[in-house]
Amino acid sequence: MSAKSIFIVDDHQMVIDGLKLIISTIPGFQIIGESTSAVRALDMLATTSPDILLTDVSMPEMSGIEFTRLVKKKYPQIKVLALSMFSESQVVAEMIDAGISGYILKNTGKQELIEALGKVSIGENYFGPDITLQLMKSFKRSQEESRLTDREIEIIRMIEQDFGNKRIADMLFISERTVETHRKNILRKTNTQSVVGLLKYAYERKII
Amino acid sequence: MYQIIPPLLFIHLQINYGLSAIIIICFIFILSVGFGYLFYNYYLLKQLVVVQNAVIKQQIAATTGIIHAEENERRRIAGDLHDGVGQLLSATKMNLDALLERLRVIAPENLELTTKTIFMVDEGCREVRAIAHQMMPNVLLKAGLVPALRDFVNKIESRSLKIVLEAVVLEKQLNSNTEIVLYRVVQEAVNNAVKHAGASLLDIQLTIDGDGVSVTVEDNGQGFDTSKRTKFEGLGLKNIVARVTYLKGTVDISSSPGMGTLVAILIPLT
Repeated sequence: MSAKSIFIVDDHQMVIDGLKLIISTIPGFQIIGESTSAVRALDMLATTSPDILLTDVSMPEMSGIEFTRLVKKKYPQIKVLALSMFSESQVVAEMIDAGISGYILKNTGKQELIEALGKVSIGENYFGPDITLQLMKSFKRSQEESRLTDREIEIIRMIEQDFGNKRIADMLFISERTVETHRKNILRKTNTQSVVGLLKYAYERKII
Repeated sequence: MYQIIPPLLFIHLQINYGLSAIIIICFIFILSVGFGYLFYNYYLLKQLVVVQNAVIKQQIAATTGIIHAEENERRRIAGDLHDGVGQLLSATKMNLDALLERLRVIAPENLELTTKTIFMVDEGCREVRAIAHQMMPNVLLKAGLVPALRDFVNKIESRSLKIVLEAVVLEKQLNSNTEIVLYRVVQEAVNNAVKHAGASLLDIQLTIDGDGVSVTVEDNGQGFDTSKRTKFEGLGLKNIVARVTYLKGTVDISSSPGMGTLVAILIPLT
């Protein structure tokens, strides 16, 4: 089995040098190119055609997201492994959408890098433990359904008694505009359009 | 025919006229002094209002300047931390990793110290990332307010507190400056709730529609007396008010002991 070829893109030369030092000690992998510019790398990839592209996410002239998209469009056979300082789920999600096969943090140790390169080179995905944790958390949160707050239920009771915004505002020591905001939120959460619909919803679910 | 006026009577009339004139003149004088005084008072009051308005304007301008400068500075420092220190530490760690490999063969007695050093550099990387994130989250600049708030909420480690964030964005993205300031405001309100409220539920609702931006942060915690000024200021609510004023918005802070706290922000879109 011939060694898998790697191309590195990072706007910091010292990071590239560090990666080269580590990867040179990992058997089965070989670095065939590097660039501190994503734009230049796009052209270089046409002639070098590596198995794996190791790229930074936050770069000045072109973001890793855009770069990955272009690479996957032009050279779909290249596997992209993102290497970043950031672990925010939104960034990771966008990189996944752009077509990466893996995402690891820059302070990742050698063992994890070996694992990531190994997985990615055989067509599997790899996400570091920090990244997986962030992704799982964001997924868990998005599953949560909306619920009415105590204050919102109190306001529904007042609406039931036919109190106007002014009266509700005075009773709760808030401005009328805030009452308006509450009303908007309540209608959205209950998926109703009118007071009648809202009260029907509230009675049916025994909220008030 | 001429009527003859006796001289004595004539003198008497003259005196009468003189008296009336004096009285009228006195009256006019008193009246004008009175009016003058009133007018002067009115003028003074008006001047005072003008001065007060100027002072308020000055204060708002100063606050605006401070907020603006602060955010710019944070953005710069966060950038420097990421691009400078962060990358340097990452590269250092990689070099040490490679060095460890060589030591294993030639100087195994130094392995422990090197491993320890690598661990410390790793901690440094984490620290820098955390500080930079606190200063200016990358996701806020790159993806905007809602993803940034989602990320912020996700990162809060609290088993006893259930946080729900709901966001409805019907209008196009806000400008970056508004997003950053709003992020700080929500962050402050949420941090207050997490640190002081002892709440089990926290609801954050954000709506951006044609009317503007409305944000409510509600908890079911212990609440506080809003009339107690020190507490009001100590809770960082003053910061919230200053920032919302900077965005030309209004903020309602409604709370009482045992009733939880509501922070409701409205920013009209112009």
